[in-house]
Order: sequence, then structure tokens, then C-alpha cells
Amino acid sequence: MRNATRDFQIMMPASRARALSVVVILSLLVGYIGMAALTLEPGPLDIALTIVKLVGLTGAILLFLSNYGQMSQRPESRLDEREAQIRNRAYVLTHQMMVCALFAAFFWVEAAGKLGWWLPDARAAAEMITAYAMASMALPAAILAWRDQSPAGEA
Amino acid sequence: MTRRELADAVGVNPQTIGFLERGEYGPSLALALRIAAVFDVPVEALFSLGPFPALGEQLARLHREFL
Repeated sequence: MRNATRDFQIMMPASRARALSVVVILSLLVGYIGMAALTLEPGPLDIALTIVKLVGLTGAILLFLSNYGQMSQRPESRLDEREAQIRNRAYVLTHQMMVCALFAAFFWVEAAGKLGWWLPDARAAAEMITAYAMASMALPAAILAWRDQSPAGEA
Repeated sequence: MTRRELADAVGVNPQTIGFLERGEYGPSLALALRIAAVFDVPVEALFSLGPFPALGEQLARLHREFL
């Protein structure tokens, strides 16, 4: 059963949280994966990708602090049964997506070793692992926002 | 009784009461019983596996049965 304790959270309508989640995912893909795939000398593109990474990181933190992010972290004793149910579904989907990404990476590494495709060096691997970790942090809140069926403005 | 008052009485988020009102969420037996207790009615007066007949139909049936 819920109690009256309130967390610090940034109240965000579903539409804004959805838009933010798109920004975060695109920034992760472009910033971190781009940085991993390209070997860049310091220059304009390097600075641009760093800015994109920072946008993604800031967006992920904002999403984490939003009402959706806080719902994804709240103890089950402070969720009602419907909230617990939709959060569990969000975590199951996050888990499935992260496992798929992990298996895709395993297959790529195996295939790339045999076929001579691109393989990440230590720096690129660190970038990709960071993107993976940030995606796993942001996805539950993003999924909760995208699946929120509440009419706009409902308390 | 407001949505928030009912939510506080049964220990759920007011949004969950909205979902129940719109028929978009099926409550657990425990929650259904708590809500029925608040209104002091049997649980089947509030929840049903099928749609409830319209109030007019129910009144007409009662009228036929008792008059």
C-alpha cells in the first residue's frame, strides 16, 4: 500500500518525457556510437559529437529525475498494484531490449573476428559500454512515458 | 466522494481510480474488496466480468418484477 512520502521529482507530462526520451536515445546512438565508430582527431566533429554526448547525458539525467524515472526506481511498497504492474512490464521490455543488444554485440564480435569486419578497440568499447549503461538507465522511464495511457492532466 | 478521497481510502494513486472508472484496468480481488467496503456494497455491485446493463434497463426490470 502506498504512503504519503513524496520523492524529489521533476513533474513532466508524457508528451515531454517522450520527446526527451527520443533525444536521449538519438544522442546516445549518434554521440557514443559515432564516437566509437570514428577515429577522430581533436576538431569540429569531435567537439560536435562531445556536445551530442553531453546532451544525451543531461537528457538521461533529466529523464531519470522525472516522475517517470522516479516511478521506475520507487520501492514496490510505495506503488499501487497498477503502477507495479506497468513498471514490471517496462522492466521486462527493457531487459528484453538490452539482452537483444547484448546478443547482437556478441554475434558481431564473433562474425567480425572471422570476416574481418570492424571491431572496437578499447576506447571504442568503453564508449559503447557507456552508451549501453546509459540506455539501460533511461529505458524504463522512456517506456513508462510511451506507455502512459492517462488522459492529459489527470492527477 | 472525490477520486482522491477514494484513492486515499483504499491506498492507491488517484490515477488508478480513473483507470478503474474507465474500465481500463481490472483490479485485484483485494483492491475490489477494499473499494466495495468503502461504499458498503457487495463487490459484484461495483465490478462485473461483463458490462453492466444500463440503469434504465435495470429500473425497468425491477419495475416489471415488483409491480
